[in-house]
Amino acid sequence: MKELIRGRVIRMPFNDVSTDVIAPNRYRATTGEDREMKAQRPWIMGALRAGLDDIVKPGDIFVVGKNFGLGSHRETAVRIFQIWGVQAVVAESAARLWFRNSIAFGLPVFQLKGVLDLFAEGDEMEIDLKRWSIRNAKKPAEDHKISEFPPTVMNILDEGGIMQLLKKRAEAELGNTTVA
Amino acid sequence: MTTGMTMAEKILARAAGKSRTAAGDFLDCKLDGIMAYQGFVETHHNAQEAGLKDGLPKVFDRKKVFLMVEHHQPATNLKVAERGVLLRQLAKKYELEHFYDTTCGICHQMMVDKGHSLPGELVVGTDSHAIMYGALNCAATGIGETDSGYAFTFGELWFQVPESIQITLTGTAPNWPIGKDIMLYLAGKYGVDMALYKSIEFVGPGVKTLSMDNRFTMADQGVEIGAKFTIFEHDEITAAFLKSRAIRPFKTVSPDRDAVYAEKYTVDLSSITPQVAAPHSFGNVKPVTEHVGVQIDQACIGSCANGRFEDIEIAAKILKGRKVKGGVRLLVSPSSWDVYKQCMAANLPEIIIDAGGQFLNPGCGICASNGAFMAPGEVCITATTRNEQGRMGSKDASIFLASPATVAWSAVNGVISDPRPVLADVLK
Ligand code: SF4
Repeated sequence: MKELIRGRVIRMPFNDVSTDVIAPNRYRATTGEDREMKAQRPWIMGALRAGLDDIVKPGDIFVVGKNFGLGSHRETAVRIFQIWGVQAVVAESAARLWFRNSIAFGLPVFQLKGVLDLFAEGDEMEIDLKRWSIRNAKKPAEDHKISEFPPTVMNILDEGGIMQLLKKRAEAELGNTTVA
Repeated sequence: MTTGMTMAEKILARAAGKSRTAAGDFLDCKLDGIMAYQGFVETHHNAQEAGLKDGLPKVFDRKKVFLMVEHHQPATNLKVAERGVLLRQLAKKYELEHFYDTTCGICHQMMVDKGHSLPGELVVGTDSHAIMYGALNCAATGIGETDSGYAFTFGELWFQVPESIQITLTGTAPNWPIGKDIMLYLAGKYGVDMALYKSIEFVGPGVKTLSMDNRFTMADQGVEIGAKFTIFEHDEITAAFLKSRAIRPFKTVSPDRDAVYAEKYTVDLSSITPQVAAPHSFGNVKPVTEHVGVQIDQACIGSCANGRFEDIEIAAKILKGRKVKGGVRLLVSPSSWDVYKQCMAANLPEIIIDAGGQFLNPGCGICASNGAFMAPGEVCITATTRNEQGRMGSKDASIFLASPATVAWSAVNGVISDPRPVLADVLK
């Protein structure tokens, strides 16, 4: 993973946003066929903010409230960020399973209490993985500590997701990638 | 000086091959079981997308992967039917010993009905409510389809050892299902992030007054207050449930007396009253008395939270000799075929049908918006898991969560109603 992630902030100042709200059931793709989530994209977090799909640009960083991603395990609630090309999500706090799925997808999610107060929509954020801190480019002197990821998690992020890690390990241990 | 360990710490330490661990540690753990349903097709596609052209190269143990054609069954549309075909092929290819197809109930109920998740074990499932198995004294939790690919192949996953919350139950539970009321009460009082990333341990003298069905409801809904695990201690009630079911030997686990807890709470079971969560959050809770009189169009009992025998039995007791209010759709769906048969043996389907309710097939249908859609403006009271906006179709419909007793009595009256008077009458 990059040592310095820099991007424009999309601010979603809501707490307890469930995966049902992120990726509503009603518009859910039922198979792997719509992997680009074309049908669902216009409805992502639509109950909170209309038109997100038109606003988000590749490289953006989401700033979200506490307990983000609670509820159902659906991976579309993570996949959408990758489809958008979002680089990272910084949450006041993240719900366990959504956090776990994000790591599995190779999407870094950081938790920082008070982050909503530090950034306005459109601000530039810098996530410094050398120092494990976050700052607003407007106030470069103010460093806010985040917790370091353990090696197991870094391993997954460095590979670009757990499926890539799986592939690498399978090739090393099994010699090929097909079932005998 | 070392301190003792919680149940979560003991189970994770064992799974990681260590003698001890503490909250905050990151571990690579060996899994005792993995449950997957129709989403396994996603796992397969994700693996292919990552460059594994035939999907997952292997499964780590064909006896420990539990695959089910479940969540949308019988097939709810053509795509789901096609997924079923692929699932059957995959089950064959990996020679899975436990594959449930034509008579599958809700995946989580199948896992406990069939004794696939046992005390002291670390079990994961590709669904948030896998946490339910913790009622059987194990550490169980949900993962996603992508993570599960790694788990299937190597039988291992990383875990962060969670902090634990101890909830001591005192007093005596009444003789109707109150698991839902307890969890709603906790969510209302302490918030839906009460247990964020933590493991809940239910202990204390009140536990032995709770049936297995109540415990499953409570463990299941632990995820609604943020928990990673909900773990009950093992006792005679657990043992009785497992006696004819367990498919392998197991070792029970209990917390050390000097285990470290992030928080401790006490709940007096005798003081729990019927609770209702109003739209659109599990934590938007008030006592039922605050919602009495709200008109309803639909009433549901089922899901992995409240589709077990006692949930349906109390509804039948309330409905016996009465009628569901005209215009109200009462939908009752047992959580598995084993539960269905239990209900038949007690003549519950007939009572519910005679009262004007529908007795449906087991499955997620009424919970996962595959079978109980509501139109804009409609109101549902439901003993299922969640009430997010739009979970039952229209985003302009209202979903109230409550216990099966509250749901059944509300169905009779056509408005949200306090079940205590009728309970006193039918249980005397
Ligand atoms: S019953 Fe509902 S909450 Fe439970 S597994 Fe099925 S869809 Fe999920």
